[in-house]
Amino acid sequence: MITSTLNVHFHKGMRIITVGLLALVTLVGLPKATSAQSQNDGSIYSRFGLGERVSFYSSKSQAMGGGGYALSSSQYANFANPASLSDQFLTRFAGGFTYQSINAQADGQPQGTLASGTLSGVSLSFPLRANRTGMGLSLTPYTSVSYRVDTESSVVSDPEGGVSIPLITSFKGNGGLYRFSTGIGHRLTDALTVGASSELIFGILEENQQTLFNDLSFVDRSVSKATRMHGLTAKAGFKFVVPGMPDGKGLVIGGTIRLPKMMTATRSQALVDKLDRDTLGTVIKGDIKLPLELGFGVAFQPDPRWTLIADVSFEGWSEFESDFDLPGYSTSGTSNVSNGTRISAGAEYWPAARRPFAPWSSKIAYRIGFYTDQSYISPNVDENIGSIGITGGLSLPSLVPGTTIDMNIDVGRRGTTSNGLVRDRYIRFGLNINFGERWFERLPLG
Amino acid sequence: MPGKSLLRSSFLGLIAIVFLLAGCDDPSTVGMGLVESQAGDPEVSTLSATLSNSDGLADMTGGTQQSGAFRALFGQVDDPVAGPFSMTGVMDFVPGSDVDTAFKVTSVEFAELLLNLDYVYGDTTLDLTLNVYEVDQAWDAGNARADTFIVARSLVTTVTFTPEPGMIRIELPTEWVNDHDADLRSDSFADEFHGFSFQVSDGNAIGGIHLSSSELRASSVPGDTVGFPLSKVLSTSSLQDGPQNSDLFVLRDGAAEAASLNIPIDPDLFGQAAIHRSILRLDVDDLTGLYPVGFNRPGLAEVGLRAVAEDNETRLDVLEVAVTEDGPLSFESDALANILQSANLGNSGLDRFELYIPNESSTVDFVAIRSGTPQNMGPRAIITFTPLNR
Repeated sequence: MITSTLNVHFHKGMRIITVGLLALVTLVGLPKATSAQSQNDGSIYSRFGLGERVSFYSSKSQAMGGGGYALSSSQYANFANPASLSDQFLTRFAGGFTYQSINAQADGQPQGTLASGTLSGVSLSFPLRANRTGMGLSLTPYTSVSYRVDTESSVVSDPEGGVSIPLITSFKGNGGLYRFSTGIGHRLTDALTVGASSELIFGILEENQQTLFNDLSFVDRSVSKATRMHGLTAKAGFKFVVPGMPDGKGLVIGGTIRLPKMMTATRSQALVDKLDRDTLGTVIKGDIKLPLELGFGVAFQPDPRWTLIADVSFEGWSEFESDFDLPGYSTSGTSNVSNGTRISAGAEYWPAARRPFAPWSSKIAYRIGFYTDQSYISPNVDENIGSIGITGGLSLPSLVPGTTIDMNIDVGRRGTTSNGLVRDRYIRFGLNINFGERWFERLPLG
Repeated sequence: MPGKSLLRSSFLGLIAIVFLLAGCDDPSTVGMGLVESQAGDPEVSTLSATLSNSDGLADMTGGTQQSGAFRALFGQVDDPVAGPFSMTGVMDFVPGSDVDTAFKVTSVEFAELLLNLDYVYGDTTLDLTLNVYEVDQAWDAGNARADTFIVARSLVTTVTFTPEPGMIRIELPTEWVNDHDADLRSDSFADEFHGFSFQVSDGNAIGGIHLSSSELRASSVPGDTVGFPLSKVLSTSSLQDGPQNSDLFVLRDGAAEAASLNIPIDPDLFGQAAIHRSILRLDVDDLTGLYPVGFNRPGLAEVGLRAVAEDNETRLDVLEVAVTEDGPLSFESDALANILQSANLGNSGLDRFELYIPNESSTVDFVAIRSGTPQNMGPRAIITFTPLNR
């Protein structure tokens, strides 16, 4: 009796800790999200186009290569495919951060090391009818602009004194686009699930050139160019459970389509110092067209402990249009934009599958994956910028049923040092909290 | 087990915070070839600034015991560099605390001015002939300027003295004392009497009477002497042309309120730019060897720079710098850089700058600023900027 009471109190304590951590993630992360990704210590390739494409569907899919169009899970809300939102019987609140360290190399230049932390995403999902119909809301990055290049020089500021003053010209980019998704998934039959979501894509892309003097006699100023945009688009998806699989095995295929969308955009340029911001010229308005996106994936369970997935996605960036010049894209016709593709695969091993009373160590899920992609834009028309990487992760269960703490890792490289380009070697650590609980339950009457 | 889980959760929380705060980086020039400048490289440009006489207000030369100028300046001088200049000093008195009933019941027999001459500019080898006039009408010293016209037609007395710092004693004529006996003993002295005006008819110097330790003294009977302290002062001058020497611009205290100074920072001439540093440099001639022996020329302590808006009324004091014997006037501050920055972007409404001498000076001192182009060490603005590519 005493042990039972202690357990109840302990479970409450753990729940408070977990919710507290989640609240921390959300409270600290949301301002970053809404003010764009404020760090500017990422890849120089994020400068081009609308920024580096980023996808985060769930911490589970992130550790399995980043796909998951056919992935089903009652433990996670999977935003890769809105049809997957039907697989829920708990209300879930999830959020996480990614810490990234990049080692950048270019021919004839010293290596640069950059590090930054950004929001992976936050989401809320809940069943409307358990394991049949579910809804989900998520805020995740769509693109990220985060770079910084510094160059040192000097200027003789007072010709009559003749003293040379050192200075740093810092080229920075920050911001990116975010995707606020509201989706619903519904299981039509035991085999077929469909879903749809509306996606508000919004954000700011900011380029900044700052001149810094390590001298109080000088005023550090920067020229900042900001492009703001927003637009609403729609995504639809399906999942189909292939019938006739032997008992204990499962095969699911899934696919999504996201419609092209013309976004409304404005661009302004400003001169900024620590006290003031002066707009230069007038604000220019225009449109930017986001391309069609297609995703397709398969998921296979050879037995309940193993889940294998493979995914491919296509983004039709060759149809990209913009009224604004962007790095790598010129309205006068010169464009380094091409269709983007991504291939990924991954596996999960969960020893405690279908064993709810397994020991804690057996409830840890182990994940691994890989991916390769070709970026939709390149600084050099003769070189496609590709990435290749491997992913992994652990999902640690907590004493709060349905709640896990996930730690992911992603190691990869991107680009090349030929043609004056840069090769990034990066490592990313992700920390995600995935909180699940029964909400909105009917009280038994009588 | 629960303890381990709690420890683990806390540990993970700490990791999350560390991730948030992590920012160790070592940015380099990697990727330099992949960025395009929105702006050019920092440059330095020396712009020719233009100094000119202002057609604006005269200097504020009125003052009271509470505020404003603290000297009444009078005299005339023919400066070898700055040219001829004259001033009329006006001063008024109020009954002191010792003007009591006992004083008021007996006729005034004697009156004199006891004045603290603490400033002398000009030839100290020649005596000054001073004409003391009585002011005919009430006047206000607060915010009064050097071009104020004060009516003073009645000559009271004429004295001659050597222009040297010290106390000056001027005995007032018996006729004047008799005429003002009632006024001096009246409770409405301040309304009945409006002070004296000092005008020099001969000599080559300008003197200054300090507000403190100067008074009108009156005696009813020997041994019963009371004081009427100096209460307000005003120095008026006729604005005269500047120096004959075109290589120098004279900025004189007690004359015009300020000199106009223009810096061609507008984008049509300069291009739009991010301005990081602005130095306004004015070379001052020390005028060594241009003055005869015995010519006293006190030096100015400070010169100020202020910005004037297009409405010609709004003024913003930018900086006051000390005048040194061996260096130029060099104005440099973030405020100056920011004003020029806004002007360059067309956002400020800046009309011009002004050079002024702080009101606290209360002198007729001047600085001689080299005119001409920057190549000739004339007024110049040295701007460090980054040109903007639009």
